Amino acid sequence: MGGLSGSLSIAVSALQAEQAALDVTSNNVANANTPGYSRQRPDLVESNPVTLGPLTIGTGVTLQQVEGVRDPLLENRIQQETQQQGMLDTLVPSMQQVEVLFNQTSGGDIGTQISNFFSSVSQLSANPQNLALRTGVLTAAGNLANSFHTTANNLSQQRSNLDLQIVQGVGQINTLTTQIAQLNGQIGSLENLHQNASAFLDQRGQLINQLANLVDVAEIHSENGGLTLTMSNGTPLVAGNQSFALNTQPGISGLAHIFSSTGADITGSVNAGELAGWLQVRDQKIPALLSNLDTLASGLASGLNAANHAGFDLNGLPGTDLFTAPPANGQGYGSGIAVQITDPSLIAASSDGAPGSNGNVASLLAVADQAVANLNAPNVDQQETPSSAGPLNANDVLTVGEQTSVTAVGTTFTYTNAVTSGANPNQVTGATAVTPATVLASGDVLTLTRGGKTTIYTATAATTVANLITAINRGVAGVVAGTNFTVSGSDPQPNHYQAVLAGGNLQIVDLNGNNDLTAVQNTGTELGAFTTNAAATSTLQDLINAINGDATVGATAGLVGGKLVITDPQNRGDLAVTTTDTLLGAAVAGVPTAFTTPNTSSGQTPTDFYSNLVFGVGNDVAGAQANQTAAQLILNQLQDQRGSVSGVSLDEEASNLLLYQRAFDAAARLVTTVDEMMQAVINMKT
Amino acid sequence: MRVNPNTTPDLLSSLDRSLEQQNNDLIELSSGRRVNTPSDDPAAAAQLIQNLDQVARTDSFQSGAGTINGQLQTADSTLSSVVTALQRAMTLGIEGANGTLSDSNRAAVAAELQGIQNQLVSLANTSYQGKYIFSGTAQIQPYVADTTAPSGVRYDGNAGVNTVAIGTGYNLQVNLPGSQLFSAPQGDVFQAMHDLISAITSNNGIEAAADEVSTAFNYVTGQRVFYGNGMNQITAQQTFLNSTQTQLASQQNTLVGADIAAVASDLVNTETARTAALSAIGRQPPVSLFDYLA
Repeated sequence: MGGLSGSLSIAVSALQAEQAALDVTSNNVANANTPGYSRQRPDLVESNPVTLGPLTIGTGVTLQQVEGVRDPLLENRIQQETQQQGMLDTLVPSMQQVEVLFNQTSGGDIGTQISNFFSSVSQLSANPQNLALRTGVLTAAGNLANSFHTTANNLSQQRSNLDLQIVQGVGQINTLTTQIAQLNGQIGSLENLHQNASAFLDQRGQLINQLANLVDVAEIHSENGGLTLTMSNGTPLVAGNQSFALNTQPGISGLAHIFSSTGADITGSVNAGELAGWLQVRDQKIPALLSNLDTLASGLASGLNAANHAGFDLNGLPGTDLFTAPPANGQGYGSGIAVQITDPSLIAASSDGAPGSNGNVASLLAVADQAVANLNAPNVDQQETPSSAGPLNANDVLTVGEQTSVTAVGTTFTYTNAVTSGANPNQVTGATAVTPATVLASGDVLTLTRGGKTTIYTATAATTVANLITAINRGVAGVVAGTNFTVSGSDPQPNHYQAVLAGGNLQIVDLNGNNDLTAVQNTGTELGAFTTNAAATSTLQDLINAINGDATVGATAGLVGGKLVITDPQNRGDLAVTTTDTLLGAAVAGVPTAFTTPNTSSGQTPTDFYSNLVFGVGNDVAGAQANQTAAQLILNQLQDQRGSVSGVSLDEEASNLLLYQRAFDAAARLVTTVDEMMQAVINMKT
Repeated sequence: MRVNPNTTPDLLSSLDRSLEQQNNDLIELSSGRRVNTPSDDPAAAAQLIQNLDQVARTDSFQSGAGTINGQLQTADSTLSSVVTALQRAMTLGIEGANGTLSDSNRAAVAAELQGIQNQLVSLANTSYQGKYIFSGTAQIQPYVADTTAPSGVRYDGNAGVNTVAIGTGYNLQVNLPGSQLFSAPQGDVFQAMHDLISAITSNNGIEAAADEVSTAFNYVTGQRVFYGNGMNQITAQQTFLNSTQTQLASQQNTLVGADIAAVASDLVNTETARTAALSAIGRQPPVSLFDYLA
């Protein structure tokens, strides 16, 4: 028996425990509407019993711990869905803004203007010399150009806006990761002490949800509540109590690129979150639309210019360009297209030079039914005319220009055909076959001459060809040890010559290449007369091998249909190849001529092309909207489930309140009873 | 089984969706169109662009046909006057050929013939809406008096012809140059008149000259068929273009027009559902067990 004080302590333990449990209930009720709050549950546990003789008696109750009720798997699912929804939440509004530009109802869109332009041209058919109608054509052309400008400029403006949002988004990410890292530290220290970190866990969960809304996040849990957050592409964001900041830096295009804390460019590998939505529109959707606008504008302008050239204007002169000439690859022409002709009489409607003829109007109208040419981004360059596989011209240069990194300006790699053709007066070969053991008599002299200077090898004793080769390759003045040769003359320096046995004959190379090497054996005839070698020629295949074997160059070279084709597999759209070799297509020898980028036909008329464009935009938006609705429904369902696990039910808390209060009352009653019993014991004496 | 105690976000989300549906219906009703942005129906939006282009082309054909028709009618009525004048000339020629006229009579006939010649020149120089219709593709007066020319007039135009498209792949030639109509080798009106005038004035070879005029008359009459044919073709084509326009308009309606009845009834349903949801949410008891604790 523990005595009355033991009974008292049992009752007191109950009072303490029930009161603490009540506190937990109050906390739950107070936080009923706190977002991200997980209800907490007091864990009441029987205190360790004591053994007194044959009896084992309990010692009351303790509140062992307060734990938060949460389902980590569910929380993880919610974060993943939040990432998806975040991406769609930015993708849909951004694309809707783009869609407005292609809306036909306003009548100012490109499709309507194309129709209007060709309508105005067809009116010339009945009245080709009417100046009012001709002015109408120029006006319609101006409106068409303006509709391109408006669309292209608006797209560029949206891209800039998205750029700003991306930079701001990265800033928010950094703020959140810093906060999460701090919380990680606090949680870690609490968990180490086995204390309840539920409140911090809730806060951290909320922050992670906000982060997941911004960027795709993967969690890795370790013991003691430790957490590592990375992006799905592996970029670390938070590790324990340390956060890794992302930073942004403008690239070549002026738009911001995102770099991880280790300096890696991760702009292209963000998979979900609001950031992914912005990036997708800024880096894929809008550039594709701008490029398509460039293609359409260039196709129309080139076709109409060519058609105008085919006819004669009111003055009987051949037609000139109707629009300003598009650049070779069309880039930027969507915002740059402009009407070149201002004088209506310069429209070339006539086919025979007479002002009343409308024969050329048909060819202008035919552009509406011609396929628009694709403008390939310069990732492939090819030479203009096929060449033979034979020797290339000496000293000619091929340069390959492309971008090597996001922020660096274009780099140029140069391949020079440094070999001269014809005779190669840098190499001479002896006529007589020799072996390394062939004996050269004492007193034999070999004289090498280049640039008017001589190098003389004299055999001081009977020696061998192998020793001669050693002496030549050493070439120091005076005796060359172990060779029985002395080197003299006006140019006895080392590293000017190299000797080798080539096909059984002694071959000597002038390493400095002054094109004037001669060799004479003044005494002795073992080596034979020396003659100049034929030049090694470099062929197209040598050039291809050089380009493909160059590790720093990203481009690959090959022959397609007899033409040299150079491709940039990284598709940055900035390849530029020039050559000075007439065999590779240079117009004038020695003057750099650019390779051309091959065009293909889109197979679509201007109106078809435009309607496909509109279809693409509308389809993208409709698809994204459908996905957004679905993602919202899934997220709602998950939130529902989370609520059923972790949500505070006021009814439940009210009933708990009653429980703990009643137990507290009972325990208080116990104290009173024990107190009376103590009184009775004390009063036993009197 | 524990249920989510906080269902408010779900209810709000449902209300949002019904409000969105209501708004969409209102937009459709007020604009009369089912497709207001490309995302409403991407395929229909793309087809609409093609449809509108076809409409524009058809309109171009229509207006071109109308203009050309006016041109052809003017030419035809001019030729009608030419034919009448030539008939008078032939009558005069026959008169002069019967050899019973006196010198003064012949002089009077010659004078009248000269008047007809002048009229013919003026007719050949007819212009329509400011341009000469018989000068080929040149834009200068086709016939000018030229005493050095054998027929007394010189053709300054060219032999160019214009064609105008009045349908897809349907090109109509719209003019005959004067060199083919009035001064062709097979029947040169002016040469014939000039010769007749000289013959009557000199009282020599009148019959041959009268035959010349008759040949020219037949030739011009034959050429005139061109204009009649052209006008017929245009009339037929205009009918076809009208029916094409009707078809295109109906296709446009099918593509993007709103079915007013269906949208209106959908709107009523949505409003009813929304009202019901709002009142249901409002009726939720704001009480929990706490309110029942003594």
